[in-house]
Amino acid sequence: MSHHPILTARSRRDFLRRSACGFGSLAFSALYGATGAKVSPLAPKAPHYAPRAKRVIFLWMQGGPSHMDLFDYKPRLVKEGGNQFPIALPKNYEAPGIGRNLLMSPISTFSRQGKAGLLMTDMLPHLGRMSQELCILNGMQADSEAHAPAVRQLHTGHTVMVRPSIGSWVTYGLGTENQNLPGFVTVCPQVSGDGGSTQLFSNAFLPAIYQGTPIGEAGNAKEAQIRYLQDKAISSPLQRSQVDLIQAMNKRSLEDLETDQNMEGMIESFEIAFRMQAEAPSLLDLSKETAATLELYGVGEKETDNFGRQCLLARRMVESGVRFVQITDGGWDHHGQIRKGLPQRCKAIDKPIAGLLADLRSRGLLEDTLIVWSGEFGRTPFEQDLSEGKAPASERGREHNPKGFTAWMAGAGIRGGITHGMTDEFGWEAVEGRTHIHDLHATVLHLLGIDHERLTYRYMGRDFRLTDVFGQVVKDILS
Amino acid sequence: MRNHLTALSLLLAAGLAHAQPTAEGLKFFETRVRPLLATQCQGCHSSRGKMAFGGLRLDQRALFFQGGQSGPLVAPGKPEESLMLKVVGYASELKMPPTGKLKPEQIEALTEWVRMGAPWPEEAAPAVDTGVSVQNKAKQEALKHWAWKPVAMVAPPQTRSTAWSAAPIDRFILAKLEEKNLAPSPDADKRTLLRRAYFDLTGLPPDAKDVDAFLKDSSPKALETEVDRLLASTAFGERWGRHWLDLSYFADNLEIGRKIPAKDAWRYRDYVIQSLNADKPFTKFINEQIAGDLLPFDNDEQRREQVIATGFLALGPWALVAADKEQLRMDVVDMQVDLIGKAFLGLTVGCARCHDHKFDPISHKDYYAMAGILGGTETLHGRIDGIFSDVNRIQLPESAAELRQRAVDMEKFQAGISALKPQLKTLTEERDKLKKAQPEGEAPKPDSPLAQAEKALAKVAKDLALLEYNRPEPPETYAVRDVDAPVNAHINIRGNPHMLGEEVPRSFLTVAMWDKPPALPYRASGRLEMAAWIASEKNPLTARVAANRVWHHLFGAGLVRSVDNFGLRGELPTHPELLDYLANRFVEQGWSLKKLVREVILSRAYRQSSAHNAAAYQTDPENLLRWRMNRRRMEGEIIRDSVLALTHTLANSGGGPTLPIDNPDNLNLGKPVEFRDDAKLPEQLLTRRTVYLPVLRKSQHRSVDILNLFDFPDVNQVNGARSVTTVPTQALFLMNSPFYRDQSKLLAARAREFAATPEARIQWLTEQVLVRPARADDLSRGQAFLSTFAAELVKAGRSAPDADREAWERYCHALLASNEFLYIR
Repeated sequence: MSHHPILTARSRRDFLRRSACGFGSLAFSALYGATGAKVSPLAPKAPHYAPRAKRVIFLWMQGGPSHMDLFDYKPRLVKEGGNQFPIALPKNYEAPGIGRNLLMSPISTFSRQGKAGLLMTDMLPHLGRMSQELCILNGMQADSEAHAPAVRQLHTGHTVMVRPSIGSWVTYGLGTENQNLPGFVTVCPQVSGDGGSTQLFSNAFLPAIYQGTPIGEAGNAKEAQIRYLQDKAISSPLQRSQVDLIQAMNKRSLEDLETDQNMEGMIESFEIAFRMQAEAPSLLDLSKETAATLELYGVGEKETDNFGRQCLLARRMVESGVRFVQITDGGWDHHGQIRKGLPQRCKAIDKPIAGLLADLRSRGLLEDTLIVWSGEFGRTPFEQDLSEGKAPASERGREHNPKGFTAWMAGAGIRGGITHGMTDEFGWEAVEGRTHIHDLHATVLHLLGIDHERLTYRYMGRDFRLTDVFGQVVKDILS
Repeated sequence: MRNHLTALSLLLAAGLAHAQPTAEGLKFFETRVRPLLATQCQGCHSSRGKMAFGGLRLDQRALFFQGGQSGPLVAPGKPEESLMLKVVGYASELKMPPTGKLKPEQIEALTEWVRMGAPWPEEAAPAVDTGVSVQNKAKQEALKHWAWKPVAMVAPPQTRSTAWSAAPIDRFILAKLEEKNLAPSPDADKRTLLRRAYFDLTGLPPDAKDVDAFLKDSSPKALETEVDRLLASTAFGERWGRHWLDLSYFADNLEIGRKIPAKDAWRYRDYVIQSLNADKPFTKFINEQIAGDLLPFDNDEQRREQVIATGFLALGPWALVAADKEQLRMDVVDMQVDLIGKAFLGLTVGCARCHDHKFDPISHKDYYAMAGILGGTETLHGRIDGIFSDVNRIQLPESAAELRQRAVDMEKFQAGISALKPQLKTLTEERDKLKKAQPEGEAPKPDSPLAQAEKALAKVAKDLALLEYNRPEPPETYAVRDVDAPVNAHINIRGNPHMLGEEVPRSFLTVAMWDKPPALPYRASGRLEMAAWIASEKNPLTARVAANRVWHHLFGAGLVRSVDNFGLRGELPTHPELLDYLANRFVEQGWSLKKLVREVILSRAYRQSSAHNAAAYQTDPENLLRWRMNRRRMEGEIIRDSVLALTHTLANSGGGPTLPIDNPDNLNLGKPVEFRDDAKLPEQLLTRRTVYLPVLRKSQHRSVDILNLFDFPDVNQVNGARSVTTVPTQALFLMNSPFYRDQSKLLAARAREFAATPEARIQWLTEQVLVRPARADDLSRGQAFLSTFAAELVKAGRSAPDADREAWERYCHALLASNEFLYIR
């Protein structure tokens, strides 16, 4: 049975027709007033049970961060670097530049960091100081070793099919707290290249209103603005009457067509757009932030400016009641030059993320905001040399590895200061506390008060869910 | 040549050596060599594990002597000719083992063994690993995939009902519907149908005259007449030309990251539009774009056209600034292989750059067979400012008119130069004099004579640089040509251009071959032959892929929905027989795109209404069986063009150059010269159809921001099917963009001109914008809005006429932002 019986694919038109007001005569805006809010598909909806988290910030490290160099310390790897990897590779395993599977020692030193004393790379000192907030999941697993399917799985649960993004599921399930902003925003998303695509914030078969709204372009957070936010030549009430006219026409034409999810999506997006005009301009304006806050996030510093802005925008959005915010950092795909590339990526995110956690905590938002950090997979304990022996050993890297990697969570409902799960002695495969992407998804929904098995949507004669037929809540990490 | 000799001597020597291995030799092998191979080499080169790197398997006799991707390993008896010894001696590019050189005594043992004739005891035929045979099995299965099979001659099926079908196409559709006990939807009403046909064929709305004429024409041929007229209009090429450009890497800047103006890219854009309007046979269109520079020609005009066509290959997201030029060259080749594969064949050939294709039967070798052809093709030539690579240009035969024009331009140019040069000299002298007077180490004040002189000097220098940049030159175009001495490509081991493996004869994809591979000419790249292979009616993919694209554009989804991927990971055709029927018709009718479009659009299936049908929806919510027409939102450029058409702003322009590079404020005149982000497009450009405006490799120009918001594709990829997003930022554009506001004003002014009373105006506007008469609810809703809106403005202190004018503008704005306008139904 659907979580929200009213929102099955029979189209909300049926529902609207049944609802007392209808669209015909009354101004559309009236339906969204303080009292009539229940009509909006984005209105807050009750979860299945008391939630720990009200909102989510999902930090996607595109490319697959190397867990053995960051969070998953492997003494044997330190000792046995250059030795042959003793574990037999799976049948049909084929990867360029693997050679004889020589183990690669971690490229950085590790130490016990922060109050919780978590063993972490020294390349993330700021984050290390926040260790008491982190729950490090060292037993992550995914299904594909290629970017596009793995990325799709991280975002939608499925490696091949076009399915709704987790942000779409969450806003479908819970609506959003602020009706003047989209419920699901993705800041500076990757939309082409290795696995980047509009599919990652797509509603797929869910109503179009649950699609993620992209703001800004990858790598350019400085320009992450929403254009055409206002028409200064018209007062808000008058523009409202104009939007009402558009919506009345749209409703009328939809009546002739019976159902059309995309046209309904257009209707709903006009409503959000109209309401966004009041709120969004200040939302994206970082100039009101204090110098101390900007400094906290690393805004204005060359290496950290871009991701710092994204983190700060994410904080401003969740603070304003956006339900699900995704931010992306690209360039974690270190097949080569990992000794140069990985420290750069760490530098770019370390201060911004630590700043985000500290800022959320000091504002009391960390209690009900869930932070998830993950790549689409991790990397191999053995080295990769795409130059096949031509380049010096210092320029080698690691291949993709979905069998074992690290993600971490922090904030609402999460036991901070712990690690959960582990890989084998080399970091190759998760052996304890295995947490599949499906489990991660189930846990995120659980913290939001949603039973992942009951959040369904009927489409083509069957009930779909984010976790398909998989997923188990990782109970051990809940506080 | 050397390779041939080596191979020959190897064969002879191998025969000898294998014939009579001495007991002593075999003992030497067993004690000194076999253990060495086992411990030092077989970790990566074995038939047992999955680790046969470089295709090399050193654990079995026959496989050892066969060698790997780099060729045979040993020449028995001839250490100096044995690749293995060079490699272990670290005397070649390839150095093995990669982890460190063998000990001298180990190398000596190998050398001695080779000198002895490489004795190795007889073995049974090489055992094949089970894993490998599983793979082979998968490959066997993959070879049975529908898309590799020849296009079948199919007859339209019999259907239970015979009343509905108007064309053979309809019987294919109806038969499938009947299987599921579904019925097609009734025809759309005439207005909806006409509007649909207009947008599909021209991307522009019909005007009221067209609608009237169509409504009055009660003959059964009314639609046919109209479709023929639209197919003959230039707007057809502008609409379908953009469809084709979506499949190319066309843009008006040259480099992937930098906005280096591609001054002559417009020629390729115009070529595409003109070719479609001329209904050039699709095979000719293919041949010209792949090998136009190599085709024979009768006159200058034909030569020009053919050379320009190769802009298809020449323009792309090249990293011209890259330092590793060999990598750049192979990256260009790779993008071209992928382009040709996807655009013409619906195959992701590019996946086989580093290894055999994971899903489709396209081998690593197949890839380099095609890569060799493109490697023998010069795409980049020369340098920009001596630093960056440049795209190859070919000078075009200059027409008499062009020559005359150039003479005029040259005169102007010379006059400009001779005016500016003395100025530059004077100003420089003046500046130098003032500079001398300036105390050392002190910066000049902003309004000092020195600062002013600097400013004046900079301006003249800039004018001069701009003039030089736009120096009148004989016409040229971005085009490819064959290199002087084309050679085969070697496999790039793991896609690395510096790691060469086996040489692969230039050829085409085995999977789409119907005969043995044709012999390619010795002294040419083979592009001409590749084009002919693609443009053949025997090619199982070309006609199918093209016919499917036509269906996609007319129905909103292809018969194969993954229009750019007909491989194993693509979707299966919903109507395979219909697809083959269309492919056959395409070929039969001389590969005429217009005829194919015409046939599809005149089918009953196309005429169906897009209305809902609850029962059919239950069975087939995705409309795979085509029980109705799909509704489609207009693409960004079609919204823009239509709005401009409705306000009569749209210029009937034709093509030509549209990059505004004659304005110094639009360019950074550095090295290289770049188009600025804040460059302004001149007003007269902004009245043109969007297809003619500059296309940039990253986000599109702010003047056509509608493209960025409404899913204009990444021009650096092949995009047969655009994605359609629905997000609030689009609604914001429709509500608040200056474009929408300005155009609404123009539309309101037209309405005032054409109709006097409010009722007549609403009637007129509804007919213009929505292509239907106004209903009672339109009139009452509209009038209510207009009077309330105007009254509010008057209350706020505006004059009555002013308030009335604005109310009408806002009403027009609402019409243009309504779903009924934005969707093709």
